[in-house]
Amino acid sequence: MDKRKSAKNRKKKKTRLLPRPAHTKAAFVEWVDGDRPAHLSAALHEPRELRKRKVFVFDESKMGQQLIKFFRRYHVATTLMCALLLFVFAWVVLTLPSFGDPAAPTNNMVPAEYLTHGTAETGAENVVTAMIFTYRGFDTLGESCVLFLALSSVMMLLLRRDMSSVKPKERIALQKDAAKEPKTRNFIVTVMSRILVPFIFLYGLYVLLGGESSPGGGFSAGAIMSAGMILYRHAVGAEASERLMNERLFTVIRTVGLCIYAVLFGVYILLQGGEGGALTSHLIMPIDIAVGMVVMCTMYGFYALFTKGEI
Amino acid sequence: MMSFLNTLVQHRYAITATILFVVGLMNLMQQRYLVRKVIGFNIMDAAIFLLLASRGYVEGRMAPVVAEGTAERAAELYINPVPAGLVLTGIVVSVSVSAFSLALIQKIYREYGSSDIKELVHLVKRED
Repeated sequence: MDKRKSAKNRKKKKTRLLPRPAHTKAAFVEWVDGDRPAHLSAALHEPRELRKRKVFVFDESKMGQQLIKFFRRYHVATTLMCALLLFVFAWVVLTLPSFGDPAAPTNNMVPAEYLTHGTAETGAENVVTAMIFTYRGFDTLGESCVLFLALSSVMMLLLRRDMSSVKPKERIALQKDAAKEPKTRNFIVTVMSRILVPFIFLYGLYVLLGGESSPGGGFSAGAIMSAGMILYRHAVGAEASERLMNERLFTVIRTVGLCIYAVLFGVYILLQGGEGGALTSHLIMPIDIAVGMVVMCTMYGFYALFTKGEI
Repeated sequence: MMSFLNTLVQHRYAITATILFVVGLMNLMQQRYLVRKVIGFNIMDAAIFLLLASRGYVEGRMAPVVAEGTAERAAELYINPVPAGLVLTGIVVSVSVSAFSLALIQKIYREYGSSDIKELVHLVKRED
């Protein structure tokens, strides 16, 4: 036992890929050397065993030989195809109008129309925001639906409400994963997240509310705010982050966000016939906020589902 | 020769996008492990975004946030906003597709204990 341990230590000393376990003589020596204070060594993640990967090799059977042949041919064929595609694409691309050319056919009356009348018609100075939520509103509604559906399908694949719905083979793999999870929270991440998360949310709100008149909008703000939520969850753990977001709130926000968008956009289309557009010019901001809600929930949901399989 | 080099410089973003696209496609088709295939797919997405975004730029013009009083001359002052909207759509779809395929890969890994395409093909063939 002792011998094996020392052999392991020696191996670690040689590779130095992982931090040494806390409260050992080695950690003390490191502390004396000034590498890391002893009271901080508990804050580091416990070392994880590196996963040993066996590279699969086809066996000697007839099928194995056939597959070897197939993959060899496949590699040659795909390489040739990619080379051909590279030539074709490069040729096509060189016939395009050059970069930054004002006379390019893409700068036709459509962007000119958006730029000249967009602000007056929609009430948003940022023409990109004005365009995607009004002129191309159906497209953006479809995008929100894509996000919603992607999250729903990932939930279908990965969500585990209880272990009874999980196959026995999968259950063993999950238990192995859970055993490998670090028991201690990373000290640095916890402290930094306490400082950073409020500011990330503030910045997200700024980008969200400034989306009409400056670069920003629902999509970027949703991504920023979800980054804050992901940092929070990573720092305090899945159980403690219930305070911020539980499954019910999560479902409500992402569904209500999409519904608000659909309803408001319907209102927008119906009111478009009216004159002046005094009312419609105030509709971009609520639509923006609805999109922000959907995006935020989707990104956070992806993180939660991929790390733990639950919201 | 000089004129060809000049053309290349004028189309620098488009050429970069082409190379990136083919690199991504090679990754998508030739990598052994499924997660790397998804990464290749994301490189392809990035190439398309680069191409689209570079199409929207117009020499010497500003980002399309219309300042007060410039609405009449806006078409000459600001760059093309349409490709920006297209890139936004593309990013959303790319995120969704990546997440969905990664979820499928996780499922496959739990089921077969591998994400190596060769091993998976072998296992599936043996099951037939």
